Amino acid sequence: MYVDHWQSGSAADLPLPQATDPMTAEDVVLLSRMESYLSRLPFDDAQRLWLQAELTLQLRQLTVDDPAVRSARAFAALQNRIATLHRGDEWEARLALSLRPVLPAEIEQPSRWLRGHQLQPQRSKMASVPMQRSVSAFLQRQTQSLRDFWNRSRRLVPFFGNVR
Amino acid sequence: MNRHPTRAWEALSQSRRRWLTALIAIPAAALGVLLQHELALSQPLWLEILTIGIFVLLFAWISAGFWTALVGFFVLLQGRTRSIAHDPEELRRSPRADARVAVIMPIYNEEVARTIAGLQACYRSVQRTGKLEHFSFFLLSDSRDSQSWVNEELAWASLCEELNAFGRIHYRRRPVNNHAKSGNVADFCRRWGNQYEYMVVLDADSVMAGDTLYRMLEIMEGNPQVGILQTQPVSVNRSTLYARIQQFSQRLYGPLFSAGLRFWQLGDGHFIGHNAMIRVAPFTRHCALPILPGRAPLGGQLLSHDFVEAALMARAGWEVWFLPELGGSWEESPPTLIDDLKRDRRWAQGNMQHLRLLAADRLRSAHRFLFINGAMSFLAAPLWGIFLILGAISGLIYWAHGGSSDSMSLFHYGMDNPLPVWLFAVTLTFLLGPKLLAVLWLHWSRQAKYFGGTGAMLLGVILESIFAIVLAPVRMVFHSVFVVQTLTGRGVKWGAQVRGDQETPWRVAVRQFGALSLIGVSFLFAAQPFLGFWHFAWLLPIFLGLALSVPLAVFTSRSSWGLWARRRRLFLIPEEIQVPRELRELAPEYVDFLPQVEGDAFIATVVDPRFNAVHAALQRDRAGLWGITAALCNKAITLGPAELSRRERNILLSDRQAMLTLHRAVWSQHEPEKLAAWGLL
Repeated sequence: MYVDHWQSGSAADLPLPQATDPMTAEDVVLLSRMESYLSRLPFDDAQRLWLQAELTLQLRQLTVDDPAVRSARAFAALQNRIATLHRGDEWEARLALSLRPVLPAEIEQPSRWLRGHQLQPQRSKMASVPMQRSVSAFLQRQTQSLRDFWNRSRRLVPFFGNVR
Repeated sequence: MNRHPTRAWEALSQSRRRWLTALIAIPAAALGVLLQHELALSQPLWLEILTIGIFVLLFAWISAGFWTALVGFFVLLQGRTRSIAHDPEELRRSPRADARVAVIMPIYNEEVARTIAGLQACYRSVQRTGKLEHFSFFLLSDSRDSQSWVNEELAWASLCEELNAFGRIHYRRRPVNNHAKSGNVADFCRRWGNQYEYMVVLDADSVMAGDTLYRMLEIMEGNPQVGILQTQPVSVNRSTLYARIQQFSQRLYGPLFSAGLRFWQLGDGHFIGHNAMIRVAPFTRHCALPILPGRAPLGGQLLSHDFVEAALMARAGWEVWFLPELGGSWEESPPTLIDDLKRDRRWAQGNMQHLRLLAADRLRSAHRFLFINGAMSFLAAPLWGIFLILGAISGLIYWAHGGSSDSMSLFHYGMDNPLPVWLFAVTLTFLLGPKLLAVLWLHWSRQAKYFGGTGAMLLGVILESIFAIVLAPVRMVFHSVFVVQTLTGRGVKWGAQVRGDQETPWRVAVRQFGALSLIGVSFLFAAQPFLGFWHFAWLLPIFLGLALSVPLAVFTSRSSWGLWARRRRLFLIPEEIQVPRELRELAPEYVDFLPQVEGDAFIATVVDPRFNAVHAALQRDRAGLWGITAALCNKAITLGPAELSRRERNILLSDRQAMLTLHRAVWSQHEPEKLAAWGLL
């Protein structure tokens, strides 16, 4: 069963770093995966360096040996650091980075900004209007209009009889 | 807003339509009488009545086209299609500052790069007019495929980024896509319709110039009685031989028919569902489509909505104008014969459904005529087929009474009894006359150079005519099948259209046309002794067309053949000689900013931190589904994304929290096989 270490807040309880601890082979793989994550986001150089340093530090500090927990905690730690770049919310941070070229600098919540730029619906009704499709009614209407036309024509152009 | 009280064009249009009716009915009836004289003594009564009845119907059908083209020819010779006072184009007005137009593009599992390129070309073109403040753009997705959905969303975000158009270009995906395209447009009207006075409907392969859009806005502003303005989209941009021939014929002969149509229709014009500007309020109020009683294909939802919407708009007192001279309006035609026939299959069903609306109250006669005309474009095929069968029966009766091949000869008819030759000549004139008129008009108006020069244009017309003649029996058979399928209750489903140039492989062509080819070849080799030489020669184009259907489908689907013809200036159209900027901007390099989603787009949206963030921002928290999404997240992680069905993927994609959770979960994994399943190893 997947346990979300980010939601459980375990990343906040990490012990203090020991910079001299050696990196295991598994940690190197893990680190390279985290770096591939970082490479997918358009950080500037300073941010990237800081995040890499923080990540390395966090990995060295992890005391548990279970690789599943190490992996989960490493990623939680990474997200935690990314969140610090944008007022504590890693998703908003990722979104801000994604929309960086057009996102105004003063925007605090890019998600809200994006939704605000989607036009909000103002609902109105659209329902089909009644339609009389009976053929007999159609023929009656046509007969009546022919009769009307005939009556009008007789009034306008009397073909036979005296004009009064 | 109410409709304008005066309709100056109505008396004129009624008079013109009476003339058209007379021009169609009188020659058809006269030829019917002549044919009756010919058949009276030689055929049984039932055969005579059937033959004459079908002949009159078919002749009336082709003569409607001929008279329309002839009138169009004279209108174009005059140099103006606006033939009345108070023409809407004469009453243009600068738009009010708050006049707003929504340019909407309903899409359904389309090729994203082409869709975005088209939308971008329109946007940039409007931007160049300096009138962007009046226009908003909507990409209205009905895509069910998660791949298309995610690609569209990411492409939309990139497009907005590229054009700095967040807030001016919007994306919406409908979770439930009932009533197909018309339902998609209706959904827009319900959600946002009251924020816009006008909307322009574009197809996924449509492009419109900013100048044209702004001009339409001016016309709408100056004519508050107009409900729909329809432009004439020109088919462009294809490279297969089949599509280039279609483009050529449409571009060459189209203006005549368009000018003629405009002449008859005036304010009772037609609507083809795209490349048109619509007044939103009356559309919302009057143009919701009725559901026909009974089951599909003849009952239920209307498959072809546009003609009905125009009829409903006119029924409510609003004017519908067709403006072929506006220009700046383009679309792409089906690339191959098979794709063309697939489109015809849908249209056949839709047009047959329209016949059930013929008796509807308060419809304008012009729109009833359009319904009949639309249905006839498919019913003509089985009628022609029956006419041929009746001819064969007539021939058999002739043989049974001791007729000989010599007395059936063309020369015999010409000398002894010229009537059949005259009937044939008149029919041929009515069929080919419009082509000749189009060539004459282009020659006189010195436009032949835009079709590759007079020589290339004439050669193109001859080849196109041969192609059309050879293809006619194939269409006849397929359209007849479509009509029979529709009448016997076999409907079609809504499907995505093929937009790219895809060649037809031999095996597909053999599967689709193999039986036809076999029948054609059999007739070619076996029918001559039974029919006699002249009767056989008479039917030769039909047998040849059927026999050649497989190679025709394959060879005409090839882009290499189309491009070869282009290099030799064959089937050229003006848009290939002077490419409009909007069409140039459809090239792939104009959308190289689009994100390259490698492989499975669902996986990319879960894994890629940028895609995931943007996608999540566009979804909402569907708390009601969290029980299901939690289980699906667990399934995705433990079994891998390949085990998720399309529906399960769509559920996950539609919930923000599920997508955020899945993103974290996938990146937190450490087992190599699980990471590999998500493309992280």
